[in-house]
Amino acid sequence: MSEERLAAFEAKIARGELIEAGDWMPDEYRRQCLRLIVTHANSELMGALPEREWIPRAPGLQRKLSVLSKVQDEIGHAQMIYRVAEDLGRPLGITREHMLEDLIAGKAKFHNVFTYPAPTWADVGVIAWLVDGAALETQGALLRTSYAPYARILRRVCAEEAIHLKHGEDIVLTLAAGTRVQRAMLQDALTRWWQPLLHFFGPPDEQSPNTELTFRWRIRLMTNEQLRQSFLRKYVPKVQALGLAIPDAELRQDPATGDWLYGDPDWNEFWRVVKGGGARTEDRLRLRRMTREQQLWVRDAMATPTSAA
Amino acid sequence: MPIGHELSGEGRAALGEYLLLMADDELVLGHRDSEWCAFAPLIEEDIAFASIAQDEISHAALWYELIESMRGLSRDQLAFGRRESEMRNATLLERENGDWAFTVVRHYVYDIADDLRTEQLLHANEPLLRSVAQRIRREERYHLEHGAMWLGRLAHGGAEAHRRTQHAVDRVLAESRGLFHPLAWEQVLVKEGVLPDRPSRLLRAFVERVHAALGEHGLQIPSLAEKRESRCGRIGHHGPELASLLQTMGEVWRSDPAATW
Amino acid sequence: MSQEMAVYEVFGRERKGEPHKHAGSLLACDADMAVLLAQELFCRRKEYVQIWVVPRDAVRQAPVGDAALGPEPRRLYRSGEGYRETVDKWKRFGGDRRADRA
Repeated sequence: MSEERLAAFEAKIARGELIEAGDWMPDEYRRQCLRLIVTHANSELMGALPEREWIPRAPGLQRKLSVLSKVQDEIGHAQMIYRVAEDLGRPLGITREHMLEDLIAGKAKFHNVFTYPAPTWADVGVIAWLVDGAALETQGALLRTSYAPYARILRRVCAEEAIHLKHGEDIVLTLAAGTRVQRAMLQDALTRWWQPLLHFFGPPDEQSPNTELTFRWRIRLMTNEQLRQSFLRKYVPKVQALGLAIPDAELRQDPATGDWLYGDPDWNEFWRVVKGGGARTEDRLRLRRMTREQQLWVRDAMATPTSAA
Repeated sequence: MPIGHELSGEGRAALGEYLLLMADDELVLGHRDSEWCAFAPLIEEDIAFASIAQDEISHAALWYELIESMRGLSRDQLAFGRRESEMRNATLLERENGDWAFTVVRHYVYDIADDLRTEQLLHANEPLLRSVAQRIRREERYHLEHGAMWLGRLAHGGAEAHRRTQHAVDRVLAESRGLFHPLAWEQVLVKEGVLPDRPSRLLRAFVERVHAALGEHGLQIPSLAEKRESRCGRIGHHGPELASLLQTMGEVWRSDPAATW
Repeated sequence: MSQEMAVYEVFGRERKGEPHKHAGSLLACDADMAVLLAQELFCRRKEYVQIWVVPRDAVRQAPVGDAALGPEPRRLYRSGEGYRETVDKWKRFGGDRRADRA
């Protein structure tokens, strides 16, 4: 790769131009984009697992339909994002099958937040409202990513996440205005999800490797902390308005900047989970591995040429 | 005016039974379909099948809504609040999902039965029945195409896929007759002019269509004539699979039926 | 990509009278499956009234232009740009009497 080519590429990025799948790009740009995009796709697929447990148990026909629709959308997102990743990975010979195999072998990354259990109905509401809310912050910022195919599908992803948010909000508001048992269930869910939510945006910038190039090449445009602050500014007042207690005695707003100051959310726990130590990581990967093996005969059937087709 | 207001007490009771039967069929199958979510054999199929599951559940909701005014119960009370012995779904539909071949064959065979049922309802004298049937049929067209596509793909997908498909056909058809089990109140619906004929008499057309649909793929079709089910869901005789399904489905709702969820 | 599957591109018409626009792509083992799956992937919110599903292999590409270079001066006759001076030629005849200037 010549210096001139790289300089021309970087000038293009600096002008705000977008990169398409067939454009020349430095190998490292391709790799950085792939890492981000594959992690996103994996997260959508793994994120479906805690929520799908609640489809059969949703209380009411309307909730049954809307939880099912939401999980369907998440798998739809995985489908769209894996397609973008597969097209980007083609010169490296990386296919969706490779990505899925790496995922279930425990070799690939996905967001920590989807390794936690979802033991109650209130978790369904909290996840759909706040976890999707957090995702919308990061995905909204990525709408301006330099890699155009990703930006394009993110428009639809964000539009659908906005609907999920409303669905989650509706569940949460219903529980918050409900019986004592329902309100207690909601508080319990919030208490358990608060730290994973803070972790969602990633560690403080000093602790994050791999970031410099992603910003220079405008793959990402906002830092972990900027995104976390954007989330807190939107959601802390709403959570408090519901009469819920946030499990952080140090949480307070800086009157000068408007930033939220928060207690240390145990970054050791974050790193432990990233390395595969999440409460449900092993179970969920094992489940995926098992169902995949059980379906191998269907994949063979799909590979068989048929004259009837 | 609530549906059936012009019928006799006996006629209203019969209509209620028929609506419950259809609603329960759709709810139980839709629930089973939804259990595939995130585990279907292909990501794209996962998304398509989730739409099919939503369709079935929403069709159940349409039928339950018609019963609401007749019985003074909300659609959620009807769907979540009844005991096993009160459910009227066919036994075939409460069976666990099994492998993808069983799921595909069961759904396709049921869709054929439902097609015949809703087609008959297009000739019902009650406009509400006709309009719900029309709405359902618009979505079911896709289900039939989808089922036919998968049946072909699996039946011709090599030795193992064919074997599994045949096994699924054997299991599904062993219980399919239950979909058209004759019921005492059917005659009342005909007598009072609600339907042109007893729904259980659709069995003959059903057998013909199933033969046509499965036969073109080189599948052996066991006779439906001699089979007798051990349990008949249509009269509230269900097995442990339904008990387990209802327990799961009602787990949260029953924790406080009076609460708003 | 996976050996049994091919990529299919999907184009959808949002409303009658509109041209088809690219909706996305999917993996499927044949065109029948692709068309059925595309309906639920891209149209479950009734975003389109009609879709075309095309194997990606059937799509040919060609690089046709570079916006950074600007319009080609030798081809200005293909656009209104090439006829700016026509306004001046009307002056000989008392100006361009357009209905909207009355």
